[in-house]
Amino acid sequence: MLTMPTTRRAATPKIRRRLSKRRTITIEEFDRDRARAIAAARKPGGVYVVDSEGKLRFYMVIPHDTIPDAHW
Amino acid sequence: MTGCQFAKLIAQKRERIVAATFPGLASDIDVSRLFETGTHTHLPAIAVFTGIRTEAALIEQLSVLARAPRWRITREHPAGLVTDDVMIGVEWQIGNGCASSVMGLAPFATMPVTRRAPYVCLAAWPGGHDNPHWTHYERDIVHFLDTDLTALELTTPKYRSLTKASRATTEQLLSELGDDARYYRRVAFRLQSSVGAALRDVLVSS
Repeated sequence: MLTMPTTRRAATPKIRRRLSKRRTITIEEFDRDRARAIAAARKPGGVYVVDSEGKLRFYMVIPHDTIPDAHW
Repeated sequence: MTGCQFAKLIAQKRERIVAATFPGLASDIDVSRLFETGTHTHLPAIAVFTGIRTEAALIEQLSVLARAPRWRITREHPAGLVTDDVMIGVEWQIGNGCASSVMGLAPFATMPVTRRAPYVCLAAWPGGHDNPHWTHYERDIVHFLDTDLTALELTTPKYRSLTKASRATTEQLLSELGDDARYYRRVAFRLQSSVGAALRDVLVSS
């Protein structure tokens, strides 16, 4: 009798990835405290700048990683 | 792909640029906010417009900028270049009495090979004449040659050799299409002639 192979579950448990929390500031906060906005942009993941309704205006980052030579 | 050896070195440093991604049509104030951040942090600023896929969408974005007092969109006519393509310059008033000549990058076939990128970008040095090695600057205009390179700790001979290597590599990259970097000193975007009509209300004659 032929049997179809069954899908085996992985023996190791799946690694649960924690969803990274978006660092967000409003456009009013951006204008009021530019130093804070710059500090947020310097952090890993950058900062999402939103309007008063929470809609994304732009995402700003001051990258900490370096661009590999191959990109040039 | 760029031949600029300075861009390569800047990319190897941490905190080398400030960048912002705009998912849709960006207001002139938002792009100015990014460039002002570049001024405050003393870093080159790059605006990446991920929502712009076509030349028509780019012109729509340039129209938004053209209506604002800090932005100036010009029609450029580089000496020696014979083409039907439309050459567009972009300037942003820094606020220190100077305007920054903005560099454009885009994924369009009309763009010079050294200015092609996956997304439309506006890149600028939003500071002053901060490069002590560059003495032939124009008083009222800054561009990437004016970038503060202090962090790179370059000696004059090293600066000269990097300049020479940049010129040689750029020349080589552009040579296949008979192109020349000197055409693009004030040009942000090179677009098809068919966009000319749509640009009529946007451009200021330089």
